[in-house]
Amino acid sequence: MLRSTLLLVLILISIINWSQNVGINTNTPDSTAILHLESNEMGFLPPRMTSIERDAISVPADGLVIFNTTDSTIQYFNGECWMHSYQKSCDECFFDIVLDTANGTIDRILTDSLSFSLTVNQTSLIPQTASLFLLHSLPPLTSANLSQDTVFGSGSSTVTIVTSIFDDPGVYPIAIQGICNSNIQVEVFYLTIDSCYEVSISAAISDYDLQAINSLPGIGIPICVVVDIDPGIVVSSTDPTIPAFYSGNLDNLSHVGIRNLGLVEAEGGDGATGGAVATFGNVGEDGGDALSLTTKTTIINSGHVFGGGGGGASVGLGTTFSIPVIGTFTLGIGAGGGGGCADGSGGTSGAIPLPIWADGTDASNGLIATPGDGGVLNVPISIPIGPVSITITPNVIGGDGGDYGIDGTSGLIAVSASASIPIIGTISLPVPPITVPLPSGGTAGYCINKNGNVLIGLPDGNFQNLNEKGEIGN
Amino acid sequence: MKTFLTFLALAFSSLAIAGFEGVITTEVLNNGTRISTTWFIGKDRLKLHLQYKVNEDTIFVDFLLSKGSDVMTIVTDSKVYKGYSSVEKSTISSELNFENLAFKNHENKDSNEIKYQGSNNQYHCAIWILDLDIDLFDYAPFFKADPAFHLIANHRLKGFPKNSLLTNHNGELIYSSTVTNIIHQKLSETDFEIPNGFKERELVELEYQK
Repeated sequence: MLRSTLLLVLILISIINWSQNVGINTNTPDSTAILHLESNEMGFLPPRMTSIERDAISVPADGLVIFNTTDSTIQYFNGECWMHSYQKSCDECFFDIVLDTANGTIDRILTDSLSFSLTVNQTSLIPQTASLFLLHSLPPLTSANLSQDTVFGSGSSTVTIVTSIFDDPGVYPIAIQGICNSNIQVEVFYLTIDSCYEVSISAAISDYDLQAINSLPGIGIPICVVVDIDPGIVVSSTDPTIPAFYSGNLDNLSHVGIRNLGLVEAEGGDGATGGAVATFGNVGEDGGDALSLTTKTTIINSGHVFGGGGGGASVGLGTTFSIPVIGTFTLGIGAGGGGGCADGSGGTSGAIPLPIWADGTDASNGLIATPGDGGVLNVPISIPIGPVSITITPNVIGGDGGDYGIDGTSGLIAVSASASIPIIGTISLPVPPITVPLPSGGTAGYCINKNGNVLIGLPDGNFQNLNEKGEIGN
Repeated sequence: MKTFLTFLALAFSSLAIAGFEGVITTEVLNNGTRISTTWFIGKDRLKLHLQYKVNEDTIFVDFLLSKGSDVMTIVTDSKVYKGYSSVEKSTISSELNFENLAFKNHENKDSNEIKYQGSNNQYHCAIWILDLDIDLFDYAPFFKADPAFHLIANHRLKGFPKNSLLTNHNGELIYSSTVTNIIHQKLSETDFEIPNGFKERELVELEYQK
């Protein structure tokens, strides 16, 4: 006790007597320092406390220094806030960005997209808002988006990347940039887009089977394949039962991309032939499908995809007329249906020709095709029966073929008659209306027959526009 | 022939007094086809009876008319058709162009017939009307293919056409009718009635083949 008292007295004497500043382990404290410590073995130990304890100091003096045990930093009070030694202002933002994965791959077979998450960890004394940005040079049909582009304090956001089967394959870096006040953090994600098979149709072709013609892998090996149909190229079919373009025997997990700048036209149904008086004609043939899918398909159609028109129905009538003055007579008349676009044939008289018959006409093909018309019988037919003459004037019209994507129509049968009798003159005979169920025209083929597969790029519906004619669906 | 004409003359002179009732047969040549016709002429009734062959089937057709009626009944009897139907006057027309067939008469004072001649831009026509007390005016609209009925209707004539000749300008015969027999007799109601066993039918009946 005595020794301590003595030491304190000596210090005070030193302070009083020497230069008003204190040196510890030095006899020559710096003149600009009120307290000068010197040691090669010990350090300066400020008060140690937690952030809570620090914040409990009431009205801290400007320049008050502590060691914060919560974040293990020396801090001082600048009159406004507790500052780190390296901090420039009270609201300076300190954060980092952590990605849950630094790279990913889109195969474009099983998936066209991927997602990853990022976490913003902020250590600012006062929580700040960090803005997030994606910097990249992705191919034109590929997009990357953040679920949220700001984070207050600490938090997370999800990056979703969606690519297209038509984009170029490769490795694409995506920089995730965070900006919080004047601080910037950047992390990089590496996206790999796998390659697909590439096929080009640069010459006119019929009954195209994608898998078979190009010897692509079949069942068991899912692939992605991009097909380019060049401008002006016509892909057609030779029969309505065969699609103009068929994906073929690809594995059903495959993905096909079609970029069409040409004309895909299906064969139209033929107009029905004659010979069937029991059913008053025959049903028109159905039109063919332009595109028939066997797997997931993405399409960019800047050209034309036209489903085949249905063939027109034929009409046929064999009837016995019972008329006074002449008794009875039998008449067989009919007309063929018109062909559907493209190239549907007009209906002919068939295997058992009716005596009086008119063929339907053929449809043409190409971008501006014309469907065939049903045969028309409207010329009066005079039948002499003894001294009497019966004149039958038919109005018999076969069903018309359908334009691209349009059903063929039913035909029409009506008959008027008159009897020319010596002395009497001509009696107009009221023929009962022929109210028989006439066969229907053929159904139009699909513009795109999905066959239960996913189609990306065009909605379901029935279209008659410049680019698509016919139904998309099924 | 002389005997027949004498008979006709006697018959006409006696019939003209009381109004004709009886049967007149004619031979018609229509576009090259010969037909025998029989006219049953009653007081207010008329029946035209035709008989001709179609294939092997002989068809009998009666056209029944009543004065003042707009309807003609056609009775047909053949192997394949038996029945009767009604025809409205308005549904009858003619393909022969009798319009502007301007007739002039050439009366022969020594005869009981008057000859009429007419022409238009298509036809030449000559008709001899027997001086019988027959008024066919009401029936004329039902016989539009016989130029004699056109004459009767237009000139409001009485009598019966003994001969009719219609040719085109090339001299080709289009139509002719010649009376071959006239019988004055009292006709019964049954001569103008539909025979038993005939049912009414539509003018056109259709049966579709299967």
